[in-house]
Amino acid sequence: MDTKIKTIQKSLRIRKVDVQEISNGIRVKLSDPGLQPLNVDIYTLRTNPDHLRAKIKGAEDSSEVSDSDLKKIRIKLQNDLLGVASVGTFTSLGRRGGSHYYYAHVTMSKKSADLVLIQKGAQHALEQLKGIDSGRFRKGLDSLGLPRSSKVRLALTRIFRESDDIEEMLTVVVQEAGVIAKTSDWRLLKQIKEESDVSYLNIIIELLWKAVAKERLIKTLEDIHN
Amino acid sequence: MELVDIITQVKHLACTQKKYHVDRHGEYVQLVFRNTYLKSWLDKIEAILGAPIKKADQPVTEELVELTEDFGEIFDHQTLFLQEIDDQRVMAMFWPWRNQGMTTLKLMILNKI
Repeated sequence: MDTKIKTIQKSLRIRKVDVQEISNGIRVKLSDPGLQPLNVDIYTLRTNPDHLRAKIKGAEDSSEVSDSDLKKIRIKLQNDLLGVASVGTFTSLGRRGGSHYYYAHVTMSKKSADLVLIQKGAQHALEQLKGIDSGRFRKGLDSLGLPRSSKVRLALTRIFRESDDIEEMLTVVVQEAGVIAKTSDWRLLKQIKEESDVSYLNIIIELLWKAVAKERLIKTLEDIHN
Repeated sequence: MELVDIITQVKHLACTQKKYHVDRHGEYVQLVFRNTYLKSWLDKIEAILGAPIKKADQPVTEELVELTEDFGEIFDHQTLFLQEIDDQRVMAMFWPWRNQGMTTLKLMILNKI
């Protein structure tokens, strides 16, 4: 399987999205309130392997998928792939028999370079996390004074729970950094980074902070550019 | 046959975009042109590859979907030409754009071995 598709597959599985392998890619089963259950195929063309596509097959009763539903599907998929890839607008591919088909370009995030930057720290963090049980981890978060509902706490917990290997850990770190960088929670992260005296948490806090700082820098540069 | 053998025969026809890909399976080119030239393109490709095996608005069979998977599959409004030459499969697909006066032509030569 194409490595870009593999990255997407892993990221979706981490997010508990139902994903199956198909001949040239993966099939994402979307079931969201307000949407008919449907499949989105993500694949590459052999004739254009750098190009990733997401394809939707509409119902077989000849009805077109509304623009509003196409938008909802895009947003859902985009959220599930936050920090990994961006999903373009779905447009019509054409009709086959009773079904309309739609496709969107999927662009891998430029974060792969960022992942390399933080990989060194991640390896160390992963080794350290493997030696800690969940009870001790929770106590560490409590001692930092992080409220249960805090996005920073949720992010650190997810990194702890879902980091079975280095790749998964980096994917989760980048995803969570994308969420935190968009809110004022980055200040809380900065504060605990400066004040934390829980040694086994410091390294993942530092890792998350680096990824958040990078996100904020990119956003700032985009704002200047615009 | 090489893709250049076909391209040489159609190079006098105007197109606005070109994309080329080659790998161990074969060669692939994608051209975009204005619909004012569509008939010229169709005539020229038919002269090279014979009559289309699927015309626009003819139904798409499962076999055709499988055959065109590497192209991005085929849909009702598209036209497909196919010719098997020795150990090669040559395909040309015309893909008219929706509500825009353009067509994409995808040409592929696949080595079957």
